[in-house]
Amino acid sequence: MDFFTTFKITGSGLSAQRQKMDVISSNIANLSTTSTPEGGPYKRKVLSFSADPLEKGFDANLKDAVRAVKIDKITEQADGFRKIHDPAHPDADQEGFVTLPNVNLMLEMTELISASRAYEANATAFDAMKSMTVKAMDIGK
Amino acid sequence: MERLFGKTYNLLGTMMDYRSERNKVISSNIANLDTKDYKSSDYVFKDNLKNAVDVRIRLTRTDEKHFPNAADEISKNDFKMITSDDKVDLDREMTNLAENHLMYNLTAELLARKFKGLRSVLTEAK
Repeated sequence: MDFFTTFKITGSGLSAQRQKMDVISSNIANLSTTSTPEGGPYKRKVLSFSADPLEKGFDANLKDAVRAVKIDKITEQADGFRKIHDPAHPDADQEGFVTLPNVNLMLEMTELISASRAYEANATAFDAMKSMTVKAMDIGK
Repeated sequence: MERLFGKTYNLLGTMMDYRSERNKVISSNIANLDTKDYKSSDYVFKDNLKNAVDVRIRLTRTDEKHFPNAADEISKNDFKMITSDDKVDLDREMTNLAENHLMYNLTAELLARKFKGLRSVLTEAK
């Protein structure tokens, strides 16, 4: 019986959700960033996860089913920029239009809350395993 | 020894193993909550607990060269992995997690009390 596999899995879940929250925070912080080092306005970043198979197990059947999670990739959304007319803006083009980032605050907030809930779920799973470990150590007492 | 440590110890031990393995599967489902193409799975009894414990026919060995038939004790072979086509359902996983957690603690407590019972028999006789 190894407890540490569960700790590894829930740990990977915690870290993945935290990184998702980091990316969402970055999107929110750059809600109206009109210039970036790469040029152009800030582009919304979307993070995706992939399952990471673990070896070993009490039952060989478990081999492929039990998976940790890892960050698959971070993609930049290339469409949906908003344009406003503001000739006084330093980043305005010839016609006086400023391109604003394609970040939708409502969407980011809902994503943030769902990531935070998923983080809590992983934390609960971690706690459950911890309490089980303590209980197992109490058997001989 | 067979009488002292009866069937129950092995049963409880295997159940603890089962619960801790199932916890891994549930944790994996929770960790992969947002993973695209991840299919949720569960770790369950092949038949049911009664079958796993009771219906084992033990063949009598009349000659020592006879092979013993299948082990009559519950083992990891009594469990199997099932994978569903659904995406992970957080509510279901959290319920399973809580149930599994409590059942593990219960099993551990039962095992601890079995040992306590044994110890009290050993010490009270002094």
